[in-house]
Amino acid sequence: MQFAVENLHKSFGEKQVLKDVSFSTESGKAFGLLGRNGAGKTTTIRIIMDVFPADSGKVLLDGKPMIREKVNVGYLPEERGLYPKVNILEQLIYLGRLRGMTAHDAKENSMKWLRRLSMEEYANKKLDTLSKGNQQKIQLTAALVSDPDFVILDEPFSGLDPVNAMLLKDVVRELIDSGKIVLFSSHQMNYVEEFCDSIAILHHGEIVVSGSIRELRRAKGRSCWMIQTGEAEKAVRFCKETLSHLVKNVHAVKEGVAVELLHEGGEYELLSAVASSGLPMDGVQLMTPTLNDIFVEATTGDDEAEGSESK
Amino acid sequence: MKQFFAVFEYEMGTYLKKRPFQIVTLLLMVLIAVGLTLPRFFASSEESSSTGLEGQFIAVVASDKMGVTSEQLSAMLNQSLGAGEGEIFQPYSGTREKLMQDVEEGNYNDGLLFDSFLQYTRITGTVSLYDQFSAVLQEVLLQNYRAQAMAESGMSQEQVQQILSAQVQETLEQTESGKNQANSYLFTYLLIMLLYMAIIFYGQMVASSVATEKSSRAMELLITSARPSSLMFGKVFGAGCAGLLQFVLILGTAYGAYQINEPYYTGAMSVMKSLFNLPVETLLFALVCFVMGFFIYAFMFAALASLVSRLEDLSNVITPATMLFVVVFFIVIVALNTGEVDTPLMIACSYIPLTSPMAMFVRFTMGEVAVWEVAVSVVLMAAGAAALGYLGAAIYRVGVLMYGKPPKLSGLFAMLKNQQKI
Repeated sequence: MQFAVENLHKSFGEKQVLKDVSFSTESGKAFGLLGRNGAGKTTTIRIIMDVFPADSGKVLLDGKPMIREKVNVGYLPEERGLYPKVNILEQLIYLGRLRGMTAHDAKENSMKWLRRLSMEEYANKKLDTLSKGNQQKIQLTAALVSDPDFVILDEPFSGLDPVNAMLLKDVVRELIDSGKIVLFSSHQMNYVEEFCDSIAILHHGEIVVSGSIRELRRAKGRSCWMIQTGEAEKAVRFCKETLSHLVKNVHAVKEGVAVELLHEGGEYELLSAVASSGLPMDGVQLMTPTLNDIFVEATTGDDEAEGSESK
Repeated sequence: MKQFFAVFEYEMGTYLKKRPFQIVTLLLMVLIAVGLTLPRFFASSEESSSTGLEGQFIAVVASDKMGVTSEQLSAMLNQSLGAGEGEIFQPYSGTREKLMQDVEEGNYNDGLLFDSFLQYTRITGTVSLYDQFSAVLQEVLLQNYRAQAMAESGMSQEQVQQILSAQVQETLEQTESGKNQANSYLFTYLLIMLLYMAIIFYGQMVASSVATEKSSRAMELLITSARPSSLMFGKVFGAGCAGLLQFVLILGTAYGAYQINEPYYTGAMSVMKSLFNLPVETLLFALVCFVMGFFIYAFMFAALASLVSRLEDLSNVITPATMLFVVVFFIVIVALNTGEVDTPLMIACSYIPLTSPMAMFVRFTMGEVAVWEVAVSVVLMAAGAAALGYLGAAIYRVGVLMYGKPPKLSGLFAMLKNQQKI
């Protein structure tokens, strides 16, 4: 299955929340929808879930408009919530039935997922008697009870201890391997990096970066270099004064100075300039950017403008 | 539709499984069964006497000028009022002051000092609110006086009997829409009270169920699993059916208990008969009013409850709807108590869906309404319920995802305009 959103626009009153949001993914792949708080992730997800319509734009499945009732979607909302005073198995069955299952199938599936998440002993407990991490696992069961083809996980790892996080990782990996579409939204970039093939970063309702993680890193990858030196201060001064035609974003890091090349292929000039500068130097190294770097850069660009606006 | 039934089943099941719901139902059933069985015990002791004087001692003093002794007068009164149950009326020979003291000390319940057959002084302690003694005694004395007077003027015993036992016969013929308010009052009052309690109780049950889903954030998951309209309608119908079941159980118990004890509902208790022998059309119309009234207010409560994010705020938003209902209740009760149920205000109220389930019901049982008027009112109720259901679902759809302060009315309509799709 191919899933895509195309040119989504959405405003609430005067406020434009989504501006021309497009991305696509397919079965057996995990897609990361990233963005800072209030960037428009939940709104995008709610439009996909047909909680409310977009002002314009399309949600497509295999190229055709997605009819929400006909697609089995599992959703783990960021705002966790189930009935606190109701028997866990009962509410799981209820949610399964709401998504079109028979009571019998819903029960079997609930038990299957509870077992998978090592939660079957809690089946007949009330939700509010469970610890936060266990409630979180129940919440995940609620998302998966209907064996969805399309899974939307909003911050699935928040509140889990390392053992449970590991368990959840396995489950997510299984979902991906079994050919589901997984839409992943998280601030924990290490998880996103681990699962997702492609990402889109939303910033103020717009997609500022999108594509496969590997390519994004590669594109960015050959421009960031580190001059390993014990004399970081001198090196910073040297770069700023002598190499301003060659590099930008010069800043001291733990083992030396990080710089970003202005032009492709500038690394040779950088190397020879540094080599002939007489600075005490241990080496020049290519810096592979993490997703975190990409995220931070993409979403901090206009903070100052934003700051002055809010004043 | 599948979703609607899933919601319906779940909601109804949730209510039926709730301990408080079960306990209240059971408690009411037991109380009603016991209450309606009580006449069995009272009636058995009441049957022997209708004067309520048994076990009492009443001192009788006849004046010298009466021509009868205290003994003779007591015997006469015992014969008329005592029904052979021992000597209730006893001749007394002491002074007035002594008698006063005896009554004070409880040796006698009452003391009667006769000057003539038509004039006496009653000495007694507290006069109860329901005291019938004087009236009964006076009736006996009057009958006795008339019989004596007629006998003295030469009438035969038979003639005297005939005159004294004469009765006026009335045949009551009413117009088709005319009602006997005396007969209808009790059951109308009772049904209106039930209607009021049921709508407030079950309506608030729906409201708190919606608000709980929102405050626990279960709504986010529900709204992405099912259509909001399925959720709201399923919830309202589920609560309605749970309520109806509770009602049927309680009223069924009442009817059963009454049927078992029916022979004992005599005397003053026979008014109860009017409650259990309601005309079929009244029962059916009551059911229509209950159902319509419930839906109209439950849709309103559900929509309003969807606007709050915390349970604490719930009472704030549903108070206006509750107040409206209380005002209607008072208008209707006043009309019922004054017997003036066909005033312009009541006529207007009986066509407005928010007020008509109560107002039209009272006019139906107590006033003059034509069949077409009832039909129009029912159609308007149904239309009103449908419209409120539609509007309720629209508000619900917008409201359920709104967290923070409940919106102002104007803001709400602006939001509804933005999201026409239900």
